[in-house]
Amino acid sequence: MIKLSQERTRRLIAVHGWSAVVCGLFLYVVVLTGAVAVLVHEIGAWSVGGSKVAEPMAVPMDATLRTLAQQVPEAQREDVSLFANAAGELVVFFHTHQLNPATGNMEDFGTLMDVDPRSGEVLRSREGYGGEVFNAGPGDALDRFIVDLHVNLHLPDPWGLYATGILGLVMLVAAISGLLIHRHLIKDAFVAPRPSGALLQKKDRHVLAGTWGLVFGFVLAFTGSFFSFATALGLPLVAITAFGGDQVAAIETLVGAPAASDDTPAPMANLDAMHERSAREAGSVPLFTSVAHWGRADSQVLVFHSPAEGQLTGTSNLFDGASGEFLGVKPSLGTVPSAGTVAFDLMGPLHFGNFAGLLSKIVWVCLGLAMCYVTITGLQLWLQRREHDPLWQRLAGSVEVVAYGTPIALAGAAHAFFLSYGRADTHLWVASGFIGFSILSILVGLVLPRAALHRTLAGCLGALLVLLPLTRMLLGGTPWAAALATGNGVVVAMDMVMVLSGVICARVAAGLRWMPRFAAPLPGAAT
Amino acid sequence: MMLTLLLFVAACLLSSLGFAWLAAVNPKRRRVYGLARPAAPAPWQKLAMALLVLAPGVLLLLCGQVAGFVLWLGAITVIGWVVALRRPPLTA
Amino acid sequence: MSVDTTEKTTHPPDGPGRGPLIARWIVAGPLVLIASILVMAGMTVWFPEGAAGINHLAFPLLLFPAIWALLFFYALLDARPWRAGAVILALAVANGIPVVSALQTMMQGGAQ
Repeated sequence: MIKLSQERTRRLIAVHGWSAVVCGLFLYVVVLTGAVAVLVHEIGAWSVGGSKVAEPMAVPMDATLRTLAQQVPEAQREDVSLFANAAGELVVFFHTHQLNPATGNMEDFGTLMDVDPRSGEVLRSREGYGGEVFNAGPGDALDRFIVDLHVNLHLPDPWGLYATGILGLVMLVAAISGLLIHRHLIKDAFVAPRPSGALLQKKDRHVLAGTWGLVFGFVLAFTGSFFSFATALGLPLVAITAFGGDQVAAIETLVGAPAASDDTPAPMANLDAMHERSAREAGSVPLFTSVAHWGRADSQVLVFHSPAEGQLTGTSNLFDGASGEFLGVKPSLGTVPSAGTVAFDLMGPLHFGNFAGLLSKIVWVCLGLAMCYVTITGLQLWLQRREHDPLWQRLAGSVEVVAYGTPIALAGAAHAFFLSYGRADTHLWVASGFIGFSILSILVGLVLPRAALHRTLAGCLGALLVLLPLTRMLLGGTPWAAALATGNGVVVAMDMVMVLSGVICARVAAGLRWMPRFAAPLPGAAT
Repeated sequence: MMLTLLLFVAACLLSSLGFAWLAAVNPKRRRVYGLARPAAPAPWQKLAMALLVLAPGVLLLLCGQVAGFVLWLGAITVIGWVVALRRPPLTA
Repeated sequence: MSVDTTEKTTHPPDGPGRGPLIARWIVAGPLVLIASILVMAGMTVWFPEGAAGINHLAFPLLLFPAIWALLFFYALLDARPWRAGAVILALAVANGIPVVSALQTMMQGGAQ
């Protein structure tokens, strides 16, 4: 229990409330898309009907890579990145580093190829700067749209990152001030929303969800604002004070790049053998491989792995590219282990929840949705206290429109993806679908009376979600039997998640509680 | 990931039991729903509740399951919330 | 977690008028943001490098949200906004010196 003077509590309540009123709806969009983006890989696989092979990075690729290396300009053989996309294709990016005149920054420039891991055939190839060629394939449209909405609200760099970084700080303030304001945190941890009185019920609901969500609200906000600010603001500034503004030097020191250089041509050792050894050391299939200085005597191969059973952080193994010798485990920062590396390594798993496969992702989706609930119920509580003020009541409608409109627009974007996949520019269609359904939601909010808004929007969302598997399969998506036969259970599971979520929305639309014996989620259903 | 999954599910079940017990005897919660006020829990009962909720997490850490521990920590914040949100059967 | 529970009687809470309120807005808003950015950048100079020689680079980036939150709540909860402002300003200036000198060196290097 925390005791503060009345004056201080008053200030905390003002900050807690006003910051939420000003930023709450944007925060909700970022948190909701973040909760969805936890499943980015699964959504990607679902949207393209599953992966071609179960483990593309485990398929032999040495011969393919040697052939591809001959097809790109020599300068682009400086570095090679290798990973698998959601469709189970091998993504190979031969690149060098050069100044991008459009951004004024040193960036990766090269040729990116999507390769069929079974045949070694190049399915698509594009040349450009990293930001232009990465995730630009037709199958990347839906998952990338969601991730970018979460990361930068589709605003240009660095402004989008600044915006989401500030939203992270606002969430941090909400969590800390909420903890300081609420005096009976432990005592009230099991007090269910009181059935009597709309205001009390709303307050109880918000406080209860906020109490339980406090720890992870703090963790997600902290790690999120770190990710936003570290690259957009922190790195350039740290580079100024420590490296006279040289960001490349700052990054090289941070990642512990080798100082000695030897450009004598030397044939590459067998990459498949290195992958095999690395998998034995780490106990898992490689996730990402980075080859520095392809075909030179100083070539190094760094192989990244997911966390081993029971661990939070993954490992990366370093090999000599020319001899294929295993050089040891490489810390993510620097060349020897340090406190900074440990702290840095924890940021990713704690924010993305990707350390224990689907299990941790499911838990993280739940945490994210719980945060959405805290945000929306907090805004509703604020508005309930001002229910006789017409100006505030206009905002009440917009809370409902954003609360339901965001998932409606996401579901609409998914429908647009299926309509265009293999037929038109998926990236354009997904963005148009999102904007179109956002506008529709706003129109519904403007036309319908407040009382009917909640259930109508819930109904629309439910219908869009239930229809998604149908749209997917009717427009040529992989049917369930075929998906199961090729080991793509994730496609079936995602379809089922859509239908289940749709049914819950339909329950709300029908005026029922979202689950039996649970408090009603939003005011329309409570009355 | 099988071991992590099993330990995680077991830990969450135990902690959920602890939460359900805590919620069932919570005096403020019972007052809200107009249920009879039970006798205050004995010290051993309080200890048992705390152990049920927290011991699974400690055990996970002792087993070297760092991932399991963080997962459990995340999951119990959602489970506890859902337990508290659910109404007692009498007033359903 | 505990916070000072009483405000000393010798330091009255915000007096009448809008002065203290505006001061608190300025201190907790722009001043705290600028100060935390400068502390992050300046930290690289005084933070220990550690065994790998990267702690002085990694921790400023990692701790930025914490630095900001700490300064923000200090500015919000201190009984006298001007005092908080002075402390935060001092912190900003002390950490800003290496940043400014690095910028000057950079400019001179660029001009040559």
